[in-house]
Amino acid sequence: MNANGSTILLVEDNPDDVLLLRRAFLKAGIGNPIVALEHGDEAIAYLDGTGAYADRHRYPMPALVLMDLKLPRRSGLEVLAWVRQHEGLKRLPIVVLTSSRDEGDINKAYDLGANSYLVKPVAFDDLLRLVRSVEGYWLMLNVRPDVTAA
Amino acid sequence: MRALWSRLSIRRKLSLLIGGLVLAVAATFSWAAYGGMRRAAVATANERLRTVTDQLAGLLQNNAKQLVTTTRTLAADTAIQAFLESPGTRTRERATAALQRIAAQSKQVAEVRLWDIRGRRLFNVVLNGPGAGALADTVVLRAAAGPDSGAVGRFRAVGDSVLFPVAVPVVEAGRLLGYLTEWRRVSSTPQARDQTNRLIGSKSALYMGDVDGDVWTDLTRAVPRPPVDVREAHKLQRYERAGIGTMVVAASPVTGTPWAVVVEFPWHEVLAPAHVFLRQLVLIALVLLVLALLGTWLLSRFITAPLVQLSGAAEAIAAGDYSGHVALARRDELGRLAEAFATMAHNVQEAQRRLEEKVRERTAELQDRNEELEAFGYTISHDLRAPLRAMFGFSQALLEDYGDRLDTTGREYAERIAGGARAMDELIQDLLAYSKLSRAELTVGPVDLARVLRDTSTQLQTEIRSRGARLSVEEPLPTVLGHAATLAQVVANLLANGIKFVAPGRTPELRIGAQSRDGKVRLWVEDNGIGIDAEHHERIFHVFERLHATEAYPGTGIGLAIVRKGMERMGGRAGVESRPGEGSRFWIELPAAEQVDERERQYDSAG
Repeated sequence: MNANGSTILLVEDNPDDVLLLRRAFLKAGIGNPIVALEHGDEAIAYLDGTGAYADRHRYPMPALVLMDLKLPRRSGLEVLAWVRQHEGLKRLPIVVLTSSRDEGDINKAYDLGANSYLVKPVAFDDLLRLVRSVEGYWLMLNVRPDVTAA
Repeated sequence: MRALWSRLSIRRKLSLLIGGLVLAVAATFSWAAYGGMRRAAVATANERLRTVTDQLAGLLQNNAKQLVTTTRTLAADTAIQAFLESPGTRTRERATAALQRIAAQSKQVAEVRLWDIRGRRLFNVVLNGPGAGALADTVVLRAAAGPDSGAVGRFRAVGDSVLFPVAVPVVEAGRLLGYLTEWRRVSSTPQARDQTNRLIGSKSALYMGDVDGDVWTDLTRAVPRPPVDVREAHKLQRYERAGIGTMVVAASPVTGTPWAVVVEFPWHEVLAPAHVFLRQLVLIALVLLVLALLGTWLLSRFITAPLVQLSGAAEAIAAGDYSGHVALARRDELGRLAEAFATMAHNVQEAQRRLEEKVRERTAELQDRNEELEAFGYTISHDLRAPLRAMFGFSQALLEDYGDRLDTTGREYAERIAGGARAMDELIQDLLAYSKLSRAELTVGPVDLARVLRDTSTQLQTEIRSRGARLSVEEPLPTVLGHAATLAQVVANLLANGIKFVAPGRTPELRIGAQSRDGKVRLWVEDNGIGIDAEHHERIFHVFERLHATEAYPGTGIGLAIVRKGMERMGGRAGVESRPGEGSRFWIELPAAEQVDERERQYDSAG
């Protein structure tokens, strides 16, 4: 199945951050549907199209994944590793969006195949700028690869 | 000398000491023995020379007496008596014939003279070889005066020969008719010489001559008078004889004659036995010395070989090698020392091993702690900032979305929430930067200060513009040895500091420059700020040290601590010169990069 939809998958356990991000997308005037998932297992289930997420019409393949690293159950890095080893999904653009500036995290994320690594800013204005940049680059400029679910 | 002695090994010292001792003892002993030997030799020679001389003198005395007696027999010849009774041609012929008969018997008689009682010479016959010629006989005649007397006279030299006279009165029936003198030649037959040699030794020489005169003979020919006092019969005398050396001499006058006899002996011959003895002693001493040295060498080897082994093992241990063993199969002091050493080495090794184990444990513990600390830092950076984002984000959302429904106080509260959240975010960021600076491995390389300054002022663009600050850089800025990112962090903090601490209403003005001296580069940042009291110059570089309320000068109190820590990590220094109200001059110092890096830098800026 061609993943040329416009859904953004947000994997983030902190509801405050989810709310702030939703508000930033809204403020930036980005109308893409946002699906927010709380932990790594859920993200894998969604991308794999299993369990509650079997219906691809309700839960379409996302155009972009924004993922935190520190997540309950399976961490962001584990999800990243799983996706990159999963035939059909491995080309999916994944942007890490986390509060860690730790060099270990950064390098590991890139090693596992993250397409980009962004740090959550504290000021809302900065967040707004970040969201605009992500939309402009990853959703508008970036030419998307073919991604198929199993 | 002392230093040289202390550098010598025990083996050499022992050999030198014992060798020296043996040498000293041998030398003393040899010298004493030689001295005794020499005295004995001299005494013996003395005694022998004196005895020989005395014997010779006695012999000559007898000889002289015998000669007088023989001559008297000649004087008793009737032909001679007849001539003296009535001198005439006939009696003279008969007397001459008688004398010639006698001369045929004794080759030593050179000439015979006949005298009247008043001492007038009447007649002479030259018998064997040259005669006495004009030599006077008067003194001898006087000595021979009287019917039963006779005398020998002083020696006379005639050509090569030495002659002496024997004078006797010619008496007939108690009536003195005249005198007869017989000149005899001193000579010696080979047999006679042999005899003398046997008596005095072949190395000796015998001289005979007048006590008062200068005519002397060695029994074959005339010789110069020996330069000794011939009357001194009982003292051994010495003198130098040209071509032979020192001679030792004994002399004795011959009683009843005007003669003296001298026997001389080479001094070195006297000392020869002592010299031979000394040579033997020296040889023995040398053999002893060699034996002593050999013995010492072996002994010192026996003593020092284990010491050498021990010190080798000790040096190995000092160098950290415990594998060497000192095994000595002996039970003496050295054996015990080796045993104690081995025990000690084992203990040291054991202690070392335990220490290393402990260090490993502690290191592992520390590593764990460090990891815990890092995990803690990670938690701070991640978890602590999430609520901050919520506070900051939602207070901003409140202001934006509901600002119109809040009064001034409500809006101020929302702003204070945002401000507090921002301050805390900065604090966390600075703390993380500081702790990262303490832990990170920094590799030092050439860094262009001009580029660092360009980058940091771009980074601080927002602050510079909002404060209306003016920055002036005094070119050129050199290249230093440092870590680019850390240096940028340090410079950014210095600039931010200079912009921040300015009296209210004043425009911040920063002057930046660099000085090179003694291979070091000092970068300074001069501001027109409020200045710092001298007592705080050191304190401001410590973490969380603040001199002002956050209200007046907001900040975390970590900026200058980052400056100091960063410089220390790069092997540099940081400091400040300042007085309250007169601005501050902060400086950092790093080693200058080598001249070679100059090209690289130009290449860098060109690219």
